[in-house]
Amino acid sequence: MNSVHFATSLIVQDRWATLVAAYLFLGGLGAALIALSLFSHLHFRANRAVTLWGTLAGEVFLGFGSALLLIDLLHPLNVWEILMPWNPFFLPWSWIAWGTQFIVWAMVFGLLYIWPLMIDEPWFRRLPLVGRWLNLWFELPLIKLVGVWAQKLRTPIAWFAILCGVGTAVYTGLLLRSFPAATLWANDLVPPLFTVSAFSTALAFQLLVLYGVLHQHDALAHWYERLDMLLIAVEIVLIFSIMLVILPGNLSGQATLHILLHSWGWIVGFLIVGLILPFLLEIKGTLKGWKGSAPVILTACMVLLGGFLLRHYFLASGVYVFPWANAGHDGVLGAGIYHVLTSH
Amino acid sequence: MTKYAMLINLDTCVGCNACMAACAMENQTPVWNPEKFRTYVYDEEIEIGDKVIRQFFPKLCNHCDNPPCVSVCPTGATWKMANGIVRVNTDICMGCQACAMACPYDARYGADSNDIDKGLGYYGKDFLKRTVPSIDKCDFCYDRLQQGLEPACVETCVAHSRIFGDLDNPNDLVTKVAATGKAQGLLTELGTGPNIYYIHKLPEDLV
Repeated sequence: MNSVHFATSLIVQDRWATLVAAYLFLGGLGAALIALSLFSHLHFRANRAVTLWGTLAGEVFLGFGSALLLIDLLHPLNVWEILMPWNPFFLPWSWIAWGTQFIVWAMVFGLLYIWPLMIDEPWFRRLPLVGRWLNLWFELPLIKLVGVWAQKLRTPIAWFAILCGVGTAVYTGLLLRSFPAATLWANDLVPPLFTVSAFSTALAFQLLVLYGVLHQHDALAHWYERLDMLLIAVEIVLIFSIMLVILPGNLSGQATLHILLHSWGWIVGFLIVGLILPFLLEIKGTLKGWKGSAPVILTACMVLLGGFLLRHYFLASGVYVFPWANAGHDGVLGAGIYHVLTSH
Repeated sequence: MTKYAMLINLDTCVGCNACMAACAMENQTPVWNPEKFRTYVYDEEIEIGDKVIRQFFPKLCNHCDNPPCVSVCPTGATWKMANGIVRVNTDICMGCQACAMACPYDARYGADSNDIDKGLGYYGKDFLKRTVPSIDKCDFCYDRLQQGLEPACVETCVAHSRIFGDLDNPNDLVTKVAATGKAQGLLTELGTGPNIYYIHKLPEDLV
């Protein structure tokens, strides 16, 4: 007989853990916040406060998320390689190369767009300790000049930042999609899922700001609630399509499904608390409204929790199927017994 | 042109792990960490019906024709040479480990700062090859190839289980065996185009 028989091991990846999950979450949330805030300011007459809140929070989330990735690198000093704007043109097949540029330019152009808004916003000048310095800073001729030009070019600046924000949200999914071995990642529903989730969490954050901080229960808030409900509905369809159609199709997917269906954090934390309950609450809020802000704030917190748990479990449940037994490097210490699963 | 490949005969591998030791010393892999080897020999027991056979399974980078590790690398640190070898440029690798995530063969590991420090004590300052943290993987002992030598694992293999060859040479043993279709690559269904071929003939009384 000339066939080659391979045994099989199932191994859950452990290289990318919580830091990268947080990076994917904050990256998607931050970029979607910038895109959403600028789009709302341009086309829905969102006021200055909510635009500043959304964009500045997006900048902080993107910056903090990127910092988390940076400290997870083996050799962070070499990160300058991917910061060069021309890098993606030399490595067009690398999604990290594109994603880094999307992040950088979403932050730069997002900041440029809100530059004139920040200069006009008295709240910054009244800040304790730093307010006096910001006052001086905003009066510098160069800062004012940048503000004037940012105002003149506000539409192209906004659209470029929005494009980069959407690009970042899509990239977080494409990154996982480019890893071929685990079925959970290597399927075409992952990029749309991560994009929808990013914008859903961004809407949830803005609802938190609108209801919890600015106390503005206006048309924009209701529009955000309705849009978030729709996005969560799409997310539910995508999640269950992955779980019920794609994952059962092969060994890697079945192993992932086994992990997910035995994880309380996934079932209760993500599926129920982070996805289905917010969906039901937002249906109620959209159809009949709420008397107070608390249900909206609670729903928004649940969506944000769900957004992080989705990315955490996506990383923690990716299963490699190796065509050898005893993967995990315990082979020299002791052998297990494995059935022949593949026979060519 | 040259296209390097390796043929591994699972029937003759005796599991002595000499290839692992030779590779570790040649390439100064972090031997203090059992998860960080460029090549590894798994000890398997395979059950067929009511019978069980013991088999040793050497594994290394498959130097794929369509390497997912190359396509995900954001710095260009991982690249494929014209002769088929997939290498890592440690000078520009930032160690994001996306390549390790993308590799379906578990053929990469991260050599971190701790490994560099231990390597200094283990291998000595005068002989230390690895001085910066980066991803590490098999490169078919590229330095040895340039000297006209075979990879360390091949040269040290006592059972001639590992055979190194050139797929562009029709007279090469590896080319001939690969052409018969009796040698198989791993996970070919993923489209990676692996260049490590395995042959294995189960004992007649088992099948």
